[in-house]
Amino acid sequence: MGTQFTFTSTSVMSNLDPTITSVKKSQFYFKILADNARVYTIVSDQSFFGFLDLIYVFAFAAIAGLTNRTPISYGMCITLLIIWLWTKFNIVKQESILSIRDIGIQVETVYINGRTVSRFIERSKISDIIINEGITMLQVKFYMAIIVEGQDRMVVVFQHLLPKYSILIQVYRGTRSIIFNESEESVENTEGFQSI
Amino acid sequence: MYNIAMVSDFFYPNMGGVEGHLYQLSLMLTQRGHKVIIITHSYGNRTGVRYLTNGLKVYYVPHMVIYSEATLPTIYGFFPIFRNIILRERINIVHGHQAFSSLCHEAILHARTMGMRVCFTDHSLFGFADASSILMNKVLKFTLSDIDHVICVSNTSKENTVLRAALTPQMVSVIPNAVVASQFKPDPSAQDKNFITIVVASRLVYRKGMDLLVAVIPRICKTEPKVRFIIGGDGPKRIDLEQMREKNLLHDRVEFLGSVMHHEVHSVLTKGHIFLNTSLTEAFCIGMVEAACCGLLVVSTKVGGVPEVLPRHMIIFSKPEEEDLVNAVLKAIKMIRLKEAVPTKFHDEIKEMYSWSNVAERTEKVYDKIWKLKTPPLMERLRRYYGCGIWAGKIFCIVMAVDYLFWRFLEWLFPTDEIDIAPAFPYQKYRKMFQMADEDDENS
Repeated sequence: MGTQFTFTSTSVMSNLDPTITSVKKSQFYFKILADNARVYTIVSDQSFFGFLDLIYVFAFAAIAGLTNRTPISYGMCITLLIIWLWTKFNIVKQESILSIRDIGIQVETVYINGRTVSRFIERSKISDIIINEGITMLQVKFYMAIIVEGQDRMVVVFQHLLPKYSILIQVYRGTRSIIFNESEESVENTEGFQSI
Repeated sequence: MYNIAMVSDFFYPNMGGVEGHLYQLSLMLTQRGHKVIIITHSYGNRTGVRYLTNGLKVYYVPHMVIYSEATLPTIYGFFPIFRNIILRERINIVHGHQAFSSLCHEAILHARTMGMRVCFTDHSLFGFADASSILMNKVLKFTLSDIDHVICVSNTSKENTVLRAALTPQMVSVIPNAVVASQFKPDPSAQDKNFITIVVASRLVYRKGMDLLVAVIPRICKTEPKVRFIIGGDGPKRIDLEQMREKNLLHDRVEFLGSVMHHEVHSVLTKGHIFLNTSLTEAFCIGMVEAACCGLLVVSTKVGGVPEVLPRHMIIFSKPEEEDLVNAVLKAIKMIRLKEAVPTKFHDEIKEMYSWSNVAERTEKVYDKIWKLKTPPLMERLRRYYGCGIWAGKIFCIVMAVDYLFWRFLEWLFPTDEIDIAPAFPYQKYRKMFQMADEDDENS
């Protein structure tokens, strides 16, 4: 049996756009599955209904109550409803990274409606694992990414829930120790600057 | 030791005097033990966080550029990202550069709202009469009404800034630009023995006196058959210069290099005997120092801060008039021919006169000075802005009050304790590693 650890932290949710960010509570878990595998999971505490839904309700009520019953007003109501449903079903509930020595990494995203999206990257294609800083219109956020050989785009881990740096550094050290057979102490000494 | 944020619209990959100043000063301050970051706008695909040589961290913020690499002034649009950067990097001094940079003006306003120490370096001279100058001077007055200290690159620039922004002269220091002398060594073998080569290296714009150059070149070529020109740089006035070359059939004697990369400037300068600067207004002109350092005799218009830059034996002055400039260039040609001036000896003198370590040391003294100052309370700031004019004062107060309220809103929306602190670049470790590598190379 593996050992399980739980932490509560604050991370940033980013549902629609990198510029629209709202702070949410989230849980961080990690499991050591024997010596050669680890799984790190971030679970969002975001509820299905939130503060933004009030704005949608007001907008919906304003269009429905204050405009004449015309095809345009019906169209606007339906559009609002579709946008609202789309945002709701794109809320990410959980993100995880499973790393297995000599095999590879699986990155998984679970949406609030139960839909799961997984991606597996085999060990031979993993060029590097990095922590980088991403810039948006409102914030600079740390993110962890896997550089895949032969691809010009990185695979971002915890792309939607973007946990704090203190969590990312734990995941980074653990994942590198499994994938690149590095001792966690040697990874720890780099202070986030891997090349030095 | 201070954590300093240099803010300007003008930085690498764009190249020029301000960009070079920012880079070299930041590097020297880092060597002196300070933490320095640079905040600028994104250049094409260059967006996000980048590390330059020696771990110099640069934030390329996504921002809309409107004209000549200056960003669209949004006043408040830059605040959220700026606050985030300042907090995550634990910045305590914000240093803005260049009056044309709206990013710099916004950063100064926001940093002041956040209660930080702020200083500003002015790199240009302005007029007082034309519409753009009047507008720019009003913006500058707004920014500098509430600032700890101002740095200018020449005494002329200081006088100009004091007048434009109605500052007390005690608040303004003069710290000139410098040059990396090791990058500008003379190379007499690169010079053409059959011709006297005159080098012009600047942006080909009206302010740099290109209309004057158009008038001067044909007259010099007519008088002196063994003289040729090399013109490095690009700009809207290039068409006029090319037309002049066509009209006077000077294809074999006037060479256009187009835009010259910064690392190529040395190889261009060393081809020449004389450096010609025809600027109509200039705060410092680092190009002249680089040229003299490369062993060129300098001919320049006597404008702005130019007379302060080089000793008299290195430079020949002229009025910004066609006749006087022609005479000055002919005098320089005669001096080169008769070996009255030996420009190759200039390098050692320049090396002693201008060094970035000296500039960094003097800038550090400014930081020490402003660190001792108290941050003014909100009412004092409002009082300062209110005195900026009958109508402008009231507008400035509103702008500042809204900025304060916006800051409070950001404090609620993105609490300080939820912003990740960026790890400091291990500069000492990095330096030690390179020293060890150098020693290994020497041993092998």
